[in-house]
Amino acid sequence: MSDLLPFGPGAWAFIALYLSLLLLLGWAGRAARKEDTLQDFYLGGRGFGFFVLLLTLYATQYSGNTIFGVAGATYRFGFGWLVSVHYMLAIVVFYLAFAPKLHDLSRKRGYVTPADYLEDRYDSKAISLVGSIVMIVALNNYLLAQLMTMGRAMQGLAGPFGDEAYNYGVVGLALIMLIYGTLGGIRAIAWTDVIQGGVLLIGFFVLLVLLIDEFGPLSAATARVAASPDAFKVARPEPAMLREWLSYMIVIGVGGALYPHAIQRIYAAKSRRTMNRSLASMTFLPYMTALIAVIAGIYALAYVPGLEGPATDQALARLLRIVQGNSPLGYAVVVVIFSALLAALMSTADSAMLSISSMFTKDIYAVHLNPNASESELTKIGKRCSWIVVGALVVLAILLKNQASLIGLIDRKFDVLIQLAPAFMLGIHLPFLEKGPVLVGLVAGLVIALGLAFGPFDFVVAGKVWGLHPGVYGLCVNATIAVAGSRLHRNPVRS
Amino acid sequence: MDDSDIREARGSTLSAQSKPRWWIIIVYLVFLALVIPWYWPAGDTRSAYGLPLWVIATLAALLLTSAFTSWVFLSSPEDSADE
Repeated sequence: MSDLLPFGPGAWAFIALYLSLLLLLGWAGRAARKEDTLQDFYLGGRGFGFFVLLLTLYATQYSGNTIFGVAGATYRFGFGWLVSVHYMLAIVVFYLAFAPKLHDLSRKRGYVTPADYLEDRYDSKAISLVGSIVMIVALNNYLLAQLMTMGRAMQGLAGPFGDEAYNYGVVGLALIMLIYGTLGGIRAIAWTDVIQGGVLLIGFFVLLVLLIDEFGPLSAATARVAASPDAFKVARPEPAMLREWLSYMIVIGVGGALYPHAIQRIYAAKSRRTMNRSLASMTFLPYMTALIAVIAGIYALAYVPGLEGPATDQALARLLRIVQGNSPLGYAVVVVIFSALLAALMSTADSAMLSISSMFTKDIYAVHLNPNASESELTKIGKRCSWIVVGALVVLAILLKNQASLIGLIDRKFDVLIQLAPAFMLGIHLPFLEKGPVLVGLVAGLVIALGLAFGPFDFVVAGKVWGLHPGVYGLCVNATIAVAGSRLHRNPVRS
Repeated sequence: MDDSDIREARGSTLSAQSKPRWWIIIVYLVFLALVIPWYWPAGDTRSAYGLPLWVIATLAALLLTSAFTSWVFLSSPEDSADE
């Protein structure tokens, strides 16, 4: 957002009102607390109905990256980045592979964190520990990216005081998030998600209307791009890019479904029917969000040409600046879109924060450090953990100012997270899967994914091998070891 | 009952309780073949309603996938004990 014009007092009053509402919901979440237990704090007593579940899943899945990252990538790749609609739908499709059964089990067996299932299914502290570490690392990466984008959003509005505004933005928004998150736990976060999800949906709709009103129909924008040196961005992508499509659908589809905070929302659903209805509705949301972000990227390509490198992530902001300067209505609409961006960032970050704290408290502290701690004690530890983790990431976000590309951060996180797919998605359907091969497969998958991603290999081009993410290769080896290893391990015993 | 049987019994308890509808995977493979436009001519520049035709084709396939997924969720068995 670093290319927007500075906001006036009216805009700041609107944003302050919105942020105050989040704090109020934090207090309301605390007042609605039924008991001082982990289940109540982290799963809201497993009582999420259709509407809350749908909007909390939506607000959590669609981060700040959906708006600016997708528009920026579309600017670079043209319609080839339509794959963002595909991978957002793929997340919902991959839920089918495990969510309904996992929901049933979570109610019967009282799971609070994703690792509770791993521990219960495989009777292995090693698998649940490795699983927790993988999920905590991936979520920290995600949370850091959201905090940095919060800083950049504020940076862009402060004119010459941008650097200070970045720091104040990261600290201030993280503080608000921490207050409502630790006050009301998942209830506060889900209720704020309802507001944030609503603002996000309205923001996307307004963005579409605004673009058409300001720049004319999409056909004119497409024709303009087709007549420019960027004409190849309108044509069907090359086979290499289409291989990347497949890879993104696997990596983000599987990884997004395995987000720990998403799994905890599956646990928190009031019933299987409620969850199924929410996920059924989720299948249509990519058209109201990711597709609009792609269209915005095309408009930017047509009307703000010439951006290169990291500046392409600012493509949408450049477009909005034109709108903002043209009329008071345009200015007001940009304020709404900016609020939607804040909503997207905060709703994703707060869920990641709560999930990290639950996993550290329940899977690491309660199991390895203090097995005799009471539920009330653990809830307190969880809240402290949120403050410590977010505090550390705020410092890191300030130190790493303007360092990481949004898409780059996303890629590595999913490479790691998808290695948990055999343990969850296969383990829930294949009774013969055993802990030894699953653990060996998981470790092998992680080594391959990280080794290919960070190793000095010439055949790794732009972080991918033959257009596929390193995590995909890791996952293939991982799943093969888990399934074949379990079969081989069992057969000799039988004979 | 040996160790392996015990392990599998545990896996059975914490794995699928109802028979998975494996045919759904076949349908998804068909959708996968349609949503990635490998089949569309590379040099085609035709468009309609402001979108290249290949984009319309892949979006149409994607919408079908959404509708099918929605149906699968809504038609899957419900655990009455939860309600």
